[in-house]
Amino acid sequence: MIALFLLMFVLLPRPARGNPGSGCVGSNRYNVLATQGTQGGNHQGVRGDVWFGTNSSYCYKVVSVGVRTSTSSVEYGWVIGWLAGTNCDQQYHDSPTTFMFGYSATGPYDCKTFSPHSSGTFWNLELKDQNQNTVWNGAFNSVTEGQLNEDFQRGTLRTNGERHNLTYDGGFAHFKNLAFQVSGQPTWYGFSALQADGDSDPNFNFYKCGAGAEKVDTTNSC
Amino acid sequence: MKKATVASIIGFLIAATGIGAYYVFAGGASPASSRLAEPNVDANNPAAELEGQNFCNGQAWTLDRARANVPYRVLEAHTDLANPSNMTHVWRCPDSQLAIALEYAPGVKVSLAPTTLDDPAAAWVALAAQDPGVVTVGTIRGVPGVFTDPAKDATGTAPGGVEFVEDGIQVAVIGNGRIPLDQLREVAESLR
Repeated sequence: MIALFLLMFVLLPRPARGNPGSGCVGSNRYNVLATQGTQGGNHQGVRGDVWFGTNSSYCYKVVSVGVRTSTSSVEYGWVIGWLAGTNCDQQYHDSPTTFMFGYSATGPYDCKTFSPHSSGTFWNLELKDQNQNTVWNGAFNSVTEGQLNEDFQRGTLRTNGERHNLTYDGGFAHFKNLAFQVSGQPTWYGFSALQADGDSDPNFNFYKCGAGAEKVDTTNSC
Repeated sequence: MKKATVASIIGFLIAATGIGAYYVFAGGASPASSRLAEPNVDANNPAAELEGQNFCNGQAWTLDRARANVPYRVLEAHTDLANPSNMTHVWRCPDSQLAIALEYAPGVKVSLAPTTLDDPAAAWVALAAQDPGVVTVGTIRGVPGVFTDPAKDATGTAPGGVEFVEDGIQVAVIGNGRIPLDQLREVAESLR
């Protein structure tokens, strides 16, 4: 029996632990999105306390906030696993690492990687074009990490729980104290109409946990 | 029960436990749900959006409906490449206020929306600075514009095209990554 057990260790393929290899990044993406149901098209900023996931075996998982128009988009969030988007760093990130991603109507994708951050806690992420100059600023706990230039000053905001591999990536996300800015005003308004805005994930769903709080989970755990 | 049978059962249980312990020890993940999801275009990118079935995830409109419902002139293309005879769709686009898009068979899209830009010229300069060599600034229809040449985008992610603001409307003539910039510029010049 001992010999049989040892033989299994030698012969059976080992499931992945930690980095499963870049081959895990397939051709699918699963998003659970939410938005602020008023002032759509007029949002110039979004911020919130965002749960940074625990270190584990991940392929390509993202949690982010973003603002988009019908042709353009900017996004600020964290990734764990492979940041495999075109023009992104193509590196494996063992811990939650902040990044920005965006594109204009006619231009290429732009992607910037920032810093790894400790996991298992909430950190504040803020994305805004408060100066109304098309320079979108991403700030981690009020400290600017980077910027992207786009072809819009305001659009419609999103919160985003995203994964790319159903086997390796959990879909959990948690946002609290969500707030937004509208055109021309530096005031942050707490969400008053948080609502689901699309779900392509087969297992995880949007759950509203208060005016400015949400979870992306398999069951309502608010 | 015979001793041999009992030994076989015990042996089987030990082996089964061993396989389970092995799998957990080695960090195996749970099997995924069997529900299938549609493959997404550009799915390798991190993007806070669902991949849509059409350009801009829009609602299908007619040209007449667009003309009746937006407070600006609906500009149509008039070149060999894109013209009223090969217009395939008119979309009412979400995420922007009063945005529409006209789609033409060869892969040309014309996006129209009230601009959010205070200073379009400065915005174009900033865009060009971010992607030098691919994005440039210039003049189109007598106003500042930004030009993206898909042939110069080594990453192949730029659809290419021309963007400008005219009479408060932000106009983007968008290609498909293969249409030469010169032809997209002709489309922009032909809009009326």
